[in-house]
Amino acid sequence: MEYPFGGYIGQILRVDLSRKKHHVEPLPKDLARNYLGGLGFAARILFDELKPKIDPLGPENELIVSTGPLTGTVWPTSGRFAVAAKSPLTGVWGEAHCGGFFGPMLKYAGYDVLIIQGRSEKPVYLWVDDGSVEIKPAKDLWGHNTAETINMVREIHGDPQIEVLSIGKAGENLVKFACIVNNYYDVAGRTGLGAVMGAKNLKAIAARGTNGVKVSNEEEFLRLAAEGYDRVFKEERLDGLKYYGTSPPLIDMKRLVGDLPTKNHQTLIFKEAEKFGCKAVERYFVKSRACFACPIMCKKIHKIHSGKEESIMKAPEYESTCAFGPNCGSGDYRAILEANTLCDLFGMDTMSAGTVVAWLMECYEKGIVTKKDCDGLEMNWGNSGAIVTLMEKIANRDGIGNLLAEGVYRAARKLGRGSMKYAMHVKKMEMDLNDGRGHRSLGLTQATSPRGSCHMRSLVVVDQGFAFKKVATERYGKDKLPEICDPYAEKYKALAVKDCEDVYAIRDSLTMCWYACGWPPAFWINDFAAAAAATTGIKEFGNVKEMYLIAARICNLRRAFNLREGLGANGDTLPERILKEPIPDGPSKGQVVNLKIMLRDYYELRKWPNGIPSRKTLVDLGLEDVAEELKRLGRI
Amino acid sequence: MEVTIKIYGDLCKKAGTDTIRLPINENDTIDTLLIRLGKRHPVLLEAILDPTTGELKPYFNILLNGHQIQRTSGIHTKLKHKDELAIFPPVGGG
Repeated sequence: MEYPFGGYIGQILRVDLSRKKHHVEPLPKDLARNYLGGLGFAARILFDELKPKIDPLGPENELIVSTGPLTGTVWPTSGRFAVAAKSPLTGVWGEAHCGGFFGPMLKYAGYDVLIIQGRSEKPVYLWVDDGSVEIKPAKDLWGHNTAETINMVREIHGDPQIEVLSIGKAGENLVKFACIVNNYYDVAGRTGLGAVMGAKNLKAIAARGTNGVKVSNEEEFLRLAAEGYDRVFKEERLDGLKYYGTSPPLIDMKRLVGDLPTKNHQTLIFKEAEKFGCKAVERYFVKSRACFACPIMCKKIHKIHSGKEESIMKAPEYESTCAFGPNCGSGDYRAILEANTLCDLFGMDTMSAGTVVAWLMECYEKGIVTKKDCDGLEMNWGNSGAIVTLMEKIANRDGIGNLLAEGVYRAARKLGRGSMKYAMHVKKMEMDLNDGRGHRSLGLTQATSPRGSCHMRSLVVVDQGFAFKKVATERYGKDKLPEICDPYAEKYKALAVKDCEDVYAIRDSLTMCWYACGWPPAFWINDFAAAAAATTGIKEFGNVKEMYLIAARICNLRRAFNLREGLGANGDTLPERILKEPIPDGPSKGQVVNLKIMLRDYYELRKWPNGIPSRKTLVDLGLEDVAEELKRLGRI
Repeated sequence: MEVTIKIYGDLCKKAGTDTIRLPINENDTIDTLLIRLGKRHPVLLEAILDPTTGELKPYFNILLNGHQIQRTSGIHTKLKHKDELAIFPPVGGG
């Protein structure tokens, strides 16, 4: 029987690797109605199906690959999907999001959601082919990097159009920040979900499908989608992104305003950063790449000449540039490219990898570790050869790489010698390359993100400069100016962070890309509501209030997941450096983050007294069962 | 007396250059400098100023020695010798 709502296929594929079995379940209508898709589905499924305190690398953990109602339609920038599990890096809620083409292909193959449970005795890969499902041996794939694995799977099935999610050596070796790679360059990067695949002996998931996605109100959907494309094409605020990609324009701006984490966040000014700006990097551009249904094409490909050799490489995103460049004190762009490429091939998150290296460099600077401790590597700031060498060592858990592969929190705990002071993490996840001392709302964003330090869950742009006055006024009212736009003020930041967290929860459930709504805001929640209603035919989705209600449900569910693991307000903090060490130089000189004020406001807006959702908050969102479980466990 | 104007992102393409040096007089402010800049690079000015109001278009950023001018006196901020002005097209994120 056809699914009653448009946009969804109406099927969940559940695969049990321990029993070598799979079966198809109908997508519950209540799940679609109350949780929308993507992230929302994953949050509800994981809360319901995982017991607290399970080992994230054990067979009890589940890996969810989840799409939304817009995935696979022609809606602009909607070719994304969510991956979630209990994180082996943080021990709490783990989620990552990915572009590319896998999400649409999974739906064309017949499924909205994949649930992978259990653990295979031997390496396997999952082959989903237009509704048919096989668990196939992956002995010959094991040990290969992600690009080789993708190519080999396509060769095995004789079809270059097959979409493949793969892990590399890092996932196989259970590196705590291993990632999952789609289509060579697109990555579900954070929280170590590649290690969850590795622990399940699951090398890859391959999908091929020839079906389509049916929308409910075709005429209205096409009208809105055409208007959406028109908006993206005409949006001059997207020009920089279309032309240069995500990294060079941001590097240029952040280096000038004093907001570029440098030498493990010791400062926010890096003198050599101009080497990564628009003017310097433009010479390497050869082409642009796009994810499914994306007219922005923000992914840039570089051609690099080294002697007579020529290499084609993916240009790094801002976070990767800063992780291996300024934050490791390196002005060597080619080394950044190399480290970034190795991370993709080994399947490792660049932000975490760069941050553990920066920690080691600071430990070396402070005399906490010696050259001997570092396998003979001189870990001076900017030693780009050492940065690149460490990527291989981490992926292979070789020597000092074995310590770093545990992530910065566990590495510092194991090393001791006062090194925890320099471990830049929140909830055990390495800091993203942002710093609340130069961009105040980011401090609150990083402290409250359910997956640990992360800018993407609630990144506020309006306090990146007074140039955003217009959008700040439209969203939050003129009376919030000037503080809401002030990068150094705490006032009103909770309002903006909470709003963005809600809007982005909907973005990640539909699912759509940050770059069409975070900045610039070509789409915002009213557009999401209209698109969701036309696609699904669920009239209530057309109401912005309903969208905010679903968003709050998802945010509270993630919070409840962490509370069940024993992590509440105690995890909502920042490294001591961000709270107490004033920036020594540049435009942000003297700045520290007063987190307490922003947290107080945030908890009040969320209706979380002392950081804990009240029973009433949960019941009002229809989460009475969640309230009961938290009460049973003594968490509320 | 002279100031340096650095132009970033795709604005350089419109201006045909990324660095412009202009002389200034005592008590010159950013807006008077922009008028002078417009005479030399009309396309650039057209890109950053609203044609009806003459104000800086929303989302464009001007930094004076790394500081956002809106934190001080905006486009009425006084300039001094060797100041560096940076003009940015819309950019945000992390």
